[in-house]
Amino acid sequence: MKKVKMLGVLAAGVLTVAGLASCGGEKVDLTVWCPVEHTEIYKKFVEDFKATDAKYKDLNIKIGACGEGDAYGTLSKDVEGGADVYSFANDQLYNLIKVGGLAELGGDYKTFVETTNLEGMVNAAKKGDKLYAFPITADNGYFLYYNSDVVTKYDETTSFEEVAAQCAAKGKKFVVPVGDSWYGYGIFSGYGAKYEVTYDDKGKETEIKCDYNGEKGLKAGNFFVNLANLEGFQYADGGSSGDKSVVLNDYITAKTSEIGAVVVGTWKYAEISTAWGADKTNCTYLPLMTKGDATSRMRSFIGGKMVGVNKQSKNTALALQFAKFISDEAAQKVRFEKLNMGPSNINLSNSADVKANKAIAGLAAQVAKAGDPQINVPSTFWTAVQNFGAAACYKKEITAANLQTKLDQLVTDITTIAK
Amino acid sequence: MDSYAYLGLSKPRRFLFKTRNFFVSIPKKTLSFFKSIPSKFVKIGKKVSKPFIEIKDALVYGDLKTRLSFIFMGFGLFTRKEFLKGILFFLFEIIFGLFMGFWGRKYLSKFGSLGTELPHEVWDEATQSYIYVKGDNSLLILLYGTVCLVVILGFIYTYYQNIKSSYKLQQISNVGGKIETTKDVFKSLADREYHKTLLAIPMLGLVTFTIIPLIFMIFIAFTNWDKGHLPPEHLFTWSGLSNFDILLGKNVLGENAKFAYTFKDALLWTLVWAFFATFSNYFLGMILALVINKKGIKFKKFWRTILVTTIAVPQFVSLLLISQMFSSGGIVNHMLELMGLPKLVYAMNTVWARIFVIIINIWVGVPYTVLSCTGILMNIPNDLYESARIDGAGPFKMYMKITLPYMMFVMGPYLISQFIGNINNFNVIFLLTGGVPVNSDKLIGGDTDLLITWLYKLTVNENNYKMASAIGIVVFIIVAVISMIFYSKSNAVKNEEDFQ
Amino acid sequence: MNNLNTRKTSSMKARRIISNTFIYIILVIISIIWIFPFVYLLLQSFRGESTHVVGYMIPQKWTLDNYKALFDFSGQYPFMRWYLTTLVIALVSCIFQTIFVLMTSYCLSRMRFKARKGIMKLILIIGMFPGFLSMIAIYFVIKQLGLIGNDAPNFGGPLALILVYIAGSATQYYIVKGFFDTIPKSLDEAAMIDGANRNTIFWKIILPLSKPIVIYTILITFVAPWGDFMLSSYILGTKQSSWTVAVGLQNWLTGNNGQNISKFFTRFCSGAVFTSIPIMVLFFLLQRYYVEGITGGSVKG
Repeated sequence: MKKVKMLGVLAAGVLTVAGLASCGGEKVDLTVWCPVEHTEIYKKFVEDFKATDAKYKDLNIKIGACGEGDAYGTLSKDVEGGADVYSFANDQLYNLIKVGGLAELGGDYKTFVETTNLEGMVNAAKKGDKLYAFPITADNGYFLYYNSDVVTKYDETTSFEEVAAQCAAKGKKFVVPVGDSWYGYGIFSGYGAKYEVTYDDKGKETEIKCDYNGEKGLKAGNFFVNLANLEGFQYADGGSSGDKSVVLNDYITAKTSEIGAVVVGTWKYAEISTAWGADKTNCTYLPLMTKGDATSRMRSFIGGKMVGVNKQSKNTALALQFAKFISDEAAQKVRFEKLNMGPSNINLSNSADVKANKAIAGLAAQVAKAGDPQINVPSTFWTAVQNFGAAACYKKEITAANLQTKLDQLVTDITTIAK
Repeated sequence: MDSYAYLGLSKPRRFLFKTRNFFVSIPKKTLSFFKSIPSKFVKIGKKVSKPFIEIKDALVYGDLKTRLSFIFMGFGLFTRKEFLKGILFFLFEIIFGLFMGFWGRKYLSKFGSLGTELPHEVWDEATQSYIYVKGDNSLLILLYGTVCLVVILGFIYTYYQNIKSSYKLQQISNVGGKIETTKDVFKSLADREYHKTLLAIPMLGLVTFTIIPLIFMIFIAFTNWDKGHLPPEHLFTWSGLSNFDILLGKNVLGENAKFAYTFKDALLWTLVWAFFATFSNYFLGMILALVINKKGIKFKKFWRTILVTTIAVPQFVSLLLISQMFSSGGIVNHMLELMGLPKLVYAMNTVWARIFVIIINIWVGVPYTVLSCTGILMNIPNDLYESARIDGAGPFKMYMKITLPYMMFVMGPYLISQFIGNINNFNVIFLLTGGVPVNSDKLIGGDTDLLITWLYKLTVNENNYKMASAIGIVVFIIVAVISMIFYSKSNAVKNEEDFQ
Repeated sequence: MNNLNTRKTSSMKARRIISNTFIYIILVIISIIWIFPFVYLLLQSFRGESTHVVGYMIPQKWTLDNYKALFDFSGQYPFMRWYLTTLVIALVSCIFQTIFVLMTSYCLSRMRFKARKGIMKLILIIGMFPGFLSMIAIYFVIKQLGLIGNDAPNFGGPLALILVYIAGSATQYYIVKGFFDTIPKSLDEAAMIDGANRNTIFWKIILPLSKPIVIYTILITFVAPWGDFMLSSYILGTKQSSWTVAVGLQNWLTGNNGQNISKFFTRFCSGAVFTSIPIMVLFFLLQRYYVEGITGGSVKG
């Protein structure tokens, strides 16, 4: 048993040494978060940034892994211990502001963002008049992909029903992610149903109005109910139903060849065009929801990815410099070329290369016809609408008979602010 | 039955008799437990007042050295030649002073309000940036304040020990008693006081990483920390019992109306789940263990080994995998379809979802039960079975009359701890269904959400820490009541010494 | 009479054969059910035609690529690094935890002192609280120690995990104490008459008699870190190079807003197999002790 004791003493020693060593952490000037897949590109960004100025050359900039969709979840855990600079998807802007995770941009930086980026994206980075982030893409929106072998007739007058019918005729699916409220929005908005949020001076919601249970909302509700029973229609969501087989991204990846048409964004272009063949892959505006009613086109949220500077950063000045560096025209060009991300920079988005990109052109076509900037969305919106979509098209609990009640419930859920 | 008749029984029969009595007496014991509460308070009162009397005695009857110990801890001990203890007491006093002065003070002083200063920004022309001026961080004030409170409690206890031992030493040296040398101290730490040596580090760990977080969590239930009050941008503060009012349905403003409903439903389902999850596992595990251990069955080790395989795969891996396999396009539904059967999708159907999680929980838990039961089954006295066989009992009757009561008796505490474990069984539900099917009448909770997974969603999706903590406390109260009634009264705990 | 007996035994024999056959059939079915997910995992880990979840079991194209991809020390997904990190965490925390669990249990089983009942009740009560809200507090306590945060060294996170695991030792006294309770007290008393002190009795008399429970504790504490994804992902956060296997595997399945799974499902499977097999071997080898330990401990409870 001497051995055990020795082992104990030894281990205690190791722990003490480790404990002491931990006190001497290194000095880190900036911590940057980016998606894992972008790590190599960010490493290059860091090298290039250091080369821009002699005083930057000894900087210690650390890169951590955090997906753009996970930024809020990861940061809110410990805002003060979070990254100084990080990228995120625009739907998290308000939440990030609320936890004190975004520094307001002023002066030169504000001018820089406002003058070099598309207006829609600048607005998406604002709350009220205050600007909070550097846009890096303008590709967060959705449009229609269709396989020209399956959907042979498509123009401005084509409706969802017709697309579904063409798919069904070829034994293919028309995937519409109605269980994801980001897409669900487009249906309500397409019929003109609206919400309105008022904020107090601290940015807290004071009142939410919503007419989703009115005449326009009822039309949208009916569309959900009809869609559910349409032959060829395939339900998908972002995980809200809890059924792992109908998660939009996985569904497309796993069953690309079974799909005839799908509503999704630019990031799926590579996969879809590989499976269908680039020449058969078409990207364009979304169909009409009511046959023959030209005002009933499904709309799309318009947003993008952004780079934010943590308000809690100990090195705000440097963080701003770096954030500007990784969001300017040159950096966006790298992102477009290497990661296929559609730029928000005005010059770049007008360049021939970008315009030639099918997916980005598809989104542009949708935006030209029916796009809404993703701003002032009630915080209650997401869960409520996703549950409605799942109830209507996944569990098929909603029928023409109980539609009004369910819509009333939906509106109550959206307009109820936590006290 | 009088005690003579009892003693006349064979040993196994006594066991059965005691088992029967245990279950029969549950209602009576419950009653007597509640009756005994007032006398418990008197006992506690006496216990609490004892230190004060001792301190008073030390102050009144103590000499100068003892009295100086009130200011300089360990003074009495040091001057009476108990150097080691004296120095340690004094060192502790100094460290405590430094700790509170340099670190604890700033948090503790704001503990009452949880902070008042909001952060703000100042425009800086040179760097073209807003310089951020930090405000108070309610979260850190609450947490580190809690740490300080625990440290202070530790200090008070040590202070009391210091005075007690100084006074005692004074009395000993007055009558010329033996003074403990440093060597004696070490000697006793290896023997008479060995428990101090053994427990020092485990208890330190327990306090730092379990008890302090626990107290912190309890405090949260009495604050308004939610998505409207997120530090460091916003402050939160004490809010009394208002969170519990919401749970009990007294406050039906806004989304609170859904709270009471979700809570009620989740609570009910949690209890139902815990019941079925515990007993299904237990009975099936026991039967399987019986079958494997039956005389004449070969490859016993092989069958057990197969079950052990599932223990070796990390639980989150197997659960996430099964969740995939049972989704609408997963392999199980694919096979059902090929066989021409209707699909079974847990996300669509509440009843099936609830059965599904209980079934999978059997899959997860039975291997453990089999392993636990195996040894115990072998311990059942064989003469019990022999005499039953002579009486002409069949296997089923023997199971009902002998095996089951015996197992229930021996494994009673195990069952109760399993029940408690299942009330808090986060993994199975979270990884399997994630709480779905979605129910729009509920506040973010689904139909298979237990209280524990619901409170997880409340924190992660909604930042509603205050309600999550309040629910945590309610879960605790339920579990505590259940276990107090069954657990502390069960024989295995009471007759601890009998086994040794 | 004799005749009757043989007839009776032969008919009993027939009955036994029938019932045993029936039992074997049930055992085979049960084995298939229990082994099925693992076989699925194993087969999927060799699937080469695609990386996402599919509705069939047998791969159309067999490959070892998913395993080759695991041998990555410094890339975007350094599985080997995670694996070694977890191994170190498991080894270190298992040594300390075992020592402390044994110490606590021995103390609560053998020593009689004022706070004893109180401590046992306290630990019982602690176990009744749903634990994970404490993660927030644990996180900030560790941060105050300087082990996590932007300035902390890379090994800080794993070290923090080790600390937290070790700190939980006392709460695991239950089964081990049950085992110690079954060792007769007369042994201690005899040793004490011979002049041994408590310390000697614990290390030289009780521990050598407790091989099953020591191995049981080592096994339990060694295996725990491999499956812990809640606490470890909370503490290790974005420092990917110091992730543990559980955090990495979890990320392959649910990371990047749920988009990772279609890229990493088969790699997740190979990673899970790679992680499980050593543990499985451990369980096979030590099964006897595991059963003995758990029985000895839970009889008493």
